[in-house]
Amino acid sequence: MVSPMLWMFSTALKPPGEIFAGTFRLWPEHPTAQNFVVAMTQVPMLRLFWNSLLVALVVTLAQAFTSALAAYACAIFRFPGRSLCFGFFVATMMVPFQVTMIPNYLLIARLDMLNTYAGLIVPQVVTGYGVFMLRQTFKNLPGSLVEAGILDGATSWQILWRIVVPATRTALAALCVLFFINTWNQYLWPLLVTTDKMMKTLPVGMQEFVSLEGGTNWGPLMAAASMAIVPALIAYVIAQRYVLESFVTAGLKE
Amino acid sequence: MTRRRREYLTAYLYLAPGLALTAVFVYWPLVASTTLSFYDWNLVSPTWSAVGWQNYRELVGNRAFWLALVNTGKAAVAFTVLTVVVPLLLAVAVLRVSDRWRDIYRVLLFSPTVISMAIACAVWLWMFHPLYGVINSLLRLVGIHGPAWLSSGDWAIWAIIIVTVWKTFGFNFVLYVAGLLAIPAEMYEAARVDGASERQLFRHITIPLLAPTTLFVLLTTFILSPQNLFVPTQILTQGGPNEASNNLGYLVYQLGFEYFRVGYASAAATLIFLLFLGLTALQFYFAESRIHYGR
Repeated sequence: MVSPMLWMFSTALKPPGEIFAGTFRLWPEHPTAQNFVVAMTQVPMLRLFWNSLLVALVVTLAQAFTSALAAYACAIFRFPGRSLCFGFFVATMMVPFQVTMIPNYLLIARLDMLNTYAGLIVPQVVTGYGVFMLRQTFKNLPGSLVEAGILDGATSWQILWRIVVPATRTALAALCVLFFINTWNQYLWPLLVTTDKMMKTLPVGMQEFVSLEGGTNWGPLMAAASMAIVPALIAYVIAQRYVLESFVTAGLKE
Repeated sequence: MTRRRREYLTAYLYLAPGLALTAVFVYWPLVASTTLSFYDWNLVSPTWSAVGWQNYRELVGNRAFWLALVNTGKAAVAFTVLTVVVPLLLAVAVLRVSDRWRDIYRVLLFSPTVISMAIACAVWLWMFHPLYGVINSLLRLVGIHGPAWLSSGDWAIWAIIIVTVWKTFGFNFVLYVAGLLAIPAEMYEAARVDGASERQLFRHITIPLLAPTTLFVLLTTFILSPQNLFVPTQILTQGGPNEASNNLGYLVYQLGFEYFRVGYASAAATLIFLLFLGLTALQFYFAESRIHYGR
């Protein structure tokens, strides 16, 4: 499972002669950093990195915020149309992305938001999945917690931010990790709405190396891929338990 | 305003941002996509022309559409075996080894899930290289002449399936491990005392109690399959050679953003939506009648 990653690092460190040797050799005979230098100069790596980071952070926070509000209403309040509203969110999980992408692209284009951060971010600030997960989490809170808040005369807004959110912060954090990884790795939507080299995200901008004139530049491509993957891998190894748990909680609740 | 009225209003205020955005970016596009599918439009022209069912007729008569459908079906079968059944068996096996090894397996198997599919595909593109790629170099070592994976009509779709399986395998595996750990050990002990064999334990305890996890894995595998197939297709083969590796998720993109036939692409999107709606409903229907919700 990790062998493609090993091969990527191996190629990234090889000089051109060894890359095209056609024989299997994992560790390069003459390791070189040349490919990394080429990668950094051919594509604005740092800018791509920043774009990815900014988009992923804002989307994560926005998704957590909208999901928390909607899940709070669905879990704690009683009002007519509650299950209908919840279903309205959950049903979106069944809609493949390809089905909505054309109208969304046209809308963003008409709003003049192509090649902007807003265009990258806005269409995805709400997620049915988040509402679904958080409602479950909020529902599992002991009812006495919320009642105590009401007795103290707190408003529902205060109860949400001072009682409910702190009490569920582990689940919230895990969900945020999940949102972040998903957004960071996203490809299709940024591919559609960005044409400007400076506005692309990392996975999209990196494809510049594929089929540059005169064939694909494998060494620098693997170097760029290594640079793009390493932060994700490090973050994953550090937050490993967290990440696994956030993915897993999804599977346990039907 | 009565207290109850005020509570209704507050609830809707909390729901408002989510509801509004979902309506704009999910439900409205569904309607718009269906509407567009009855028009002919090239993405830039100021005029649209209504063409009735023409787009659907053309789609049904298009070789690429049927190839895409068959390939998506092939992928679905491959995913069911390789990313639903195999991870389950592996999870059962891994839980028998010691805790430390289990963690290592989890980390190793899961790592493809956290990296970007687009970046992984760039690496796979290199690995599939017919002359210098690592896959064919290794095959040569054992005396096999590997195919030109991505430009071969027979192998291209399988290359895409391999990459997708590699990417999604670990996620399902970890879900199963969690599901298995949630089954109370006493159930197995009680059954063993009654003289049940290992195979009986698997059939009568593991499988039924794991059913919710299996349903979730199946559903996400199916619903995400057009998405998961898209990235490898776009980067590795662009649906080629000669549409041999096209699939439903890629077809919509190809028709809309490469051929600029928005109405035609929307017709394909609408058909996909209906197809997946049907499949999901079917899965739920079968699952409802078979799942044992033991907690």
